[in-house]
Parts: sequence; C-alpha cells; structure tokens
Amino acid sequence: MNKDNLKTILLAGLILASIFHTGKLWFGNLSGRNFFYNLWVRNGFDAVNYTGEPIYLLQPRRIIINFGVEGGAYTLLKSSKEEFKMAKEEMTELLTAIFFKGEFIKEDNLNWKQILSQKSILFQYSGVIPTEGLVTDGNKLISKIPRFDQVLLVPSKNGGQKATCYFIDEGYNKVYEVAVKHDSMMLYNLIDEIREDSSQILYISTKQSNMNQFVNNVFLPAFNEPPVYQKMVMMDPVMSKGTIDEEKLEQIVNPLFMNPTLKRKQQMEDGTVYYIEGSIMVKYYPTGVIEYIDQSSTVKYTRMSFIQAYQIAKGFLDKHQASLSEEDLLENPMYLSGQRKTNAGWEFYFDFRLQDIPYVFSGKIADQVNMQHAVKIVVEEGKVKLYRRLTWEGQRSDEEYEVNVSYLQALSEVINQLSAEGAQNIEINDMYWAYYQTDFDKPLKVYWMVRVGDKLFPIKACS
Amino acid sequence: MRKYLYLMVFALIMLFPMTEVSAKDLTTNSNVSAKTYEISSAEEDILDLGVIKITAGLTKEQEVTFDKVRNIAGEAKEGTVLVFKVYQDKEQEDKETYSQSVGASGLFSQLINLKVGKNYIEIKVEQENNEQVFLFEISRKKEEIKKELEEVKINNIFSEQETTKNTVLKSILK
Repeated sequence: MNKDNLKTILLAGLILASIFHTGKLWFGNLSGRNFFYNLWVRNGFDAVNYTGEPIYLLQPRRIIINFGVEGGAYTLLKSSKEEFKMAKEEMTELLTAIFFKGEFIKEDNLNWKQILSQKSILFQYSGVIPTEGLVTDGNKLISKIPRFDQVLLVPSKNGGQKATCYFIDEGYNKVYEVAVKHDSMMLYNLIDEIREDSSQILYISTKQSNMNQFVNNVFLPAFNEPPVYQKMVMMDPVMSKGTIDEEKLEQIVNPLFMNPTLKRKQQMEDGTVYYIEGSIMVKYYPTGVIEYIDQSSTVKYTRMSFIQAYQIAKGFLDKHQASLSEEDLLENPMYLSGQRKTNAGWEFYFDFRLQDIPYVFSGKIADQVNMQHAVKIVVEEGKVKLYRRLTWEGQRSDEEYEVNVSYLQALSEVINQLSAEGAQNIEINDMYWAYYQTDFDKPLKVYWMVRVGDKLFPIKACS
Repeated sequence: MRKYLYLMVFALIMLFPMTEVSAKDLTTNSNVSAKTYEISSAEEDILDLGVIKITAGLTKEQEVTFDKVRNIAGEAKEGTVLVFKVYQDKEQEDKETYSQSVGASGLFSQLINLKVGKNYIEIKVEQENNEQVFLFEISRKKEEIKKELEEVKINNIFSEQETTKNTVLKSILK
C-alpha cells in the first residue's frame, strides 16, 4: 500500500468521526431524532452486565437457620452481616450443582414438621420463582420442579456425602426433594457457629408449633429480654427547607441519562421537575419520588422469562445504585419484595431495609406518593420502561426503645379488631417486624405487620 | 373371694391416679391435675392437658435433650393465666418465673432456657376458680456427648468392628 492510499483511509476515518461527533453536538436536544441515536441507545443505560448462570441473581428475602431442636428454634440471618452473604453464595453454588447434576428423589405434599425436623437452612424468596431459564443448560430437573418460593437445604457434615434440598411451593402445598453430591460442610458448620452465638431472640415456626391460625409457615420472634431498637427518621435529601437542592437532584437523575449535559429541564408550578433527553424522561415529584420513563418503542413483543426480566431490572437498579453510592446518596439497602407478570412483561417491586428490618409506609403516604413500594421497575420489550423510586434516606435517631410487645399480644389485638367488625375464622397470612411510618413528618418505629388476606395491620411493637 | 376381688379392683382404681399425681403434687392450694399426659391421638404431637393444650415443646413428662432452649407453645381459653417456673432443685429459691395471660388469639408461648442437668418446668394454669399445676422434667445432656455421638460413624453394622462401636456408643451414653 502506497503512502497516498494510507492518507486517503486516514482522511475517510477522520471525516466519519467528525460526522459522528457533529451529529452528537447538533442534535443534542433532539437526540431522539438523531441518525446516530440508535447506536447510543444500544450501548446506553442498559445496566450491569452479569456473567455466569442467571441463578446467581436470585436474592433470598430471608435466610433462616434451623437448629433442629425439639419444638423448633430458629434464627434469622441479618442481611447486613457477612454470614448472610456467605450463606447466599454457598447456596447459589449448591443450587447450580443441583440443576446440573442433582438427583430428583420425589414430589410430595408439603409437611413442614417433617422437613424441619433436621438441622437446616431455609431460603425464602419474594414470591414464586419459575425455574425456566434459571440455568442455561441444566439437566431435566427443571421440568420436574416448575416453581418454588422457598428452598430448604439439609447440609451434610462430611464433604463426600450428599446434601438434600427441598424446593418448596407453599402456594400449591408441594415439596420437591432433590439430592446432590456437593460439599456443603461450610453451611453445616455455619449452623453450629450461629447456634453457639445465638442471640436473645429466637424464632419459632407456626407450622411446627401447630398454630392453625396461620395459613403459611411464619417464623415469629420469641424472647425473654425485649430487644432494643433505635428510632429512625426518613429524609428526602433533595428537599431542603421546602426548596429543591438542584445539585443533589442532578446527582440522582444524571446517571439515568445517556448524555446528561444534553438534557432539557422544565419545572412546573406544583414543583414537579421534568428532565428530557431523547426518548428518556425523568420526573422529580416534590413528595420525594423520581420517575424514569423510556418512551421509545420497538413495537416487537419480546417474551421474557422471570429470570431474564429480573436480570434487566436488577442490572438497571444496580447501575443506578452504584452511581448514587459514589455520591453517598440514597444508600438504603434494598430487597426484592414482589414481582408480577403482566401482559406486556414483568413488574418488580423493591423495598428498603433499615437496620436489617423492612421499611413499610402507611396507606396515607402511599396515596400521596402514588407508590406501594420504595421502588417499582417495569420491564417490557427487553428493557426498563418505567423506574419509580423514593428519594428518601433513613437516618438513625439517638432515641432508643424496647420492642416489648410479643407476637401473641399483637395477634390478639388484630383478632380483637377483626372480631369487632364481625369477622370469623380469622386466618393470618404473614407477620413480621417492620420500621413503620404513619405520616411524612413522623419518626419510624418498629411495628408488628400482620397480614390478613390483602390487608396489612400495623400494631405497635413497643408499649 | 369375690368381695376381695372387688376390693382389690377398687384399690387399684384408687391407686392409679395417685401415681399420676405424684409428679405434680406441688402446692397445697392447687387443685392438682390428675390428667394423664398423653399425646392426643387425633392431632399429632399435641399434649392435651384438659385446661390447656401443649402444641409444641413438650410431649411427655420426662425428656432428655441436648438443646439449650425450649419453646413451649400451646392453646388455652382467653383469660387463662399461665405461670411458668423453671428450676433445677425443688428447694431452689431463685426460680426463673414467667407469667402470661392468654389473649384473643387463644395461644400461649414461652421460651425456656435449659441448664445442663435436670430442669423442672412447672406450669401453673389459672382459670377463674380453677387452678392446676403440671410438672415436666427435661434433662439436658452435655454438648460434648452429642459431638462425640456425631463422630461415631456406623458404616456397616454387620462389620467386624460392630462390637467395638456398640461399646463406644454405650460408654458415651452412660
């Protein structure tokens, strides 16, 4: 190749690069109509790319250690602790091994007492997990276990022995038993270590205790010395004395745009702030909510499995969260609290955890913010179409108090309330502690959340 | 002869509940229960004591365990007052005492700490003019024994080492 040809190629390259960059500059505010826009979108805010088996994405909502004692004694691993992370990682390894080389033993009707009789670890997930797509090239096990919402693992003491795993589908009252030759000694030892250091709070199982008032198996804390908790307050860092801190707001919304410098801003009379760049619109409501909407449409319907859609939602959330954490903003830990399949895709709900306890807000607040959960993500057409989240941060207050109302007292209060309304044969679906907020300006305290059907009854956990 | 036979049967009937009461004859004021502790045949694992039903934590009068704690749960009529006393020696003065009143749920639950050795659990049930006391005994064995038992591997009970292993097991259990 002679020198002239080389110069021609270089020149052509430079011309192309200049066209590309000019396009970016000229069509900034109208980037959605830009010829190059699709190129950017393809490489845009499409989240963290996860490698490995999709099963790695599964996040248990609770990890419960079963000491295997007569009458039942359990403990809940705190999600902020190293043990939680370790148990989750070990379990993921084991689940992968199960789906690749596990041996299906049997399908049976769920008998909690029977399966909880041994030393074990229970992983509870939010909602039902369909097994389709959990592993890319698994064995035939997936066809035998259509779905599950909990996994009980009975680890073996010796590395060479088989570990038993029960996939539980509580809604359908089914249990699927699987055995796998995989080293689960670490989990076995973890149970022993935790038992040695068990705290003042132990949990009981309602099914093991024959508490027929409970529809599902619920783990309830029992204690002789009431635990002490700190009061919390919820703050919106964007709002300072009734005015919007624009710098903080931009720190929150900018990571959601392809090119934040090109976004247009508009503020409405009611205080709502709009940011638009191409087909992406982000709104900030003064109640402390941001809303991301991707208005682009591919028309094409893409069928997605739960895990495919969750991968997209989680990747999006994790990427935004990573940007926020860099700015020390909105760092409340989150957990997947629910999911729903829609006609067009999937919806995922996430909620905050404060001091390892879920955060729940009242119906009054929910009406004002038009949200039932801290985060809502809608995945359609293979991408995140809607992302709504609270811009609130939980902060500890110096005030401490004892959580001295037992589950029996809280339960009786709910039964009294419902009986007064004429209800009979009351069946409890769930019961747990949560940091509950009654109103915007009120501090957060630990409450008993008792779920009866679709209704949630908050009962003060401190007298 | 028949008279003696009737007398003997009568004496046996009289003696039978006495043996049941012996473990529970604790308070002079109490109307001590003479009910046999038995697992309800209709509902698995439920100990029906008449005034209360124990649904978890206790299945018989005397038990052996390695556990440090025991949660005793059950059902009773609303308004029933339950007093749990835990001690190792009947003469002991600092008995751990817990009290609770059964609410609208009709449930009760008590977490009991067990010490190594014998633990007596006394449950006093107060219902209007009725008061009954039930006594249970849980012997907690040392954790080391459990560990040693777990270490004993029985690979093949028909192997030559069977006798040796059985001897080891017996010595540990002693």
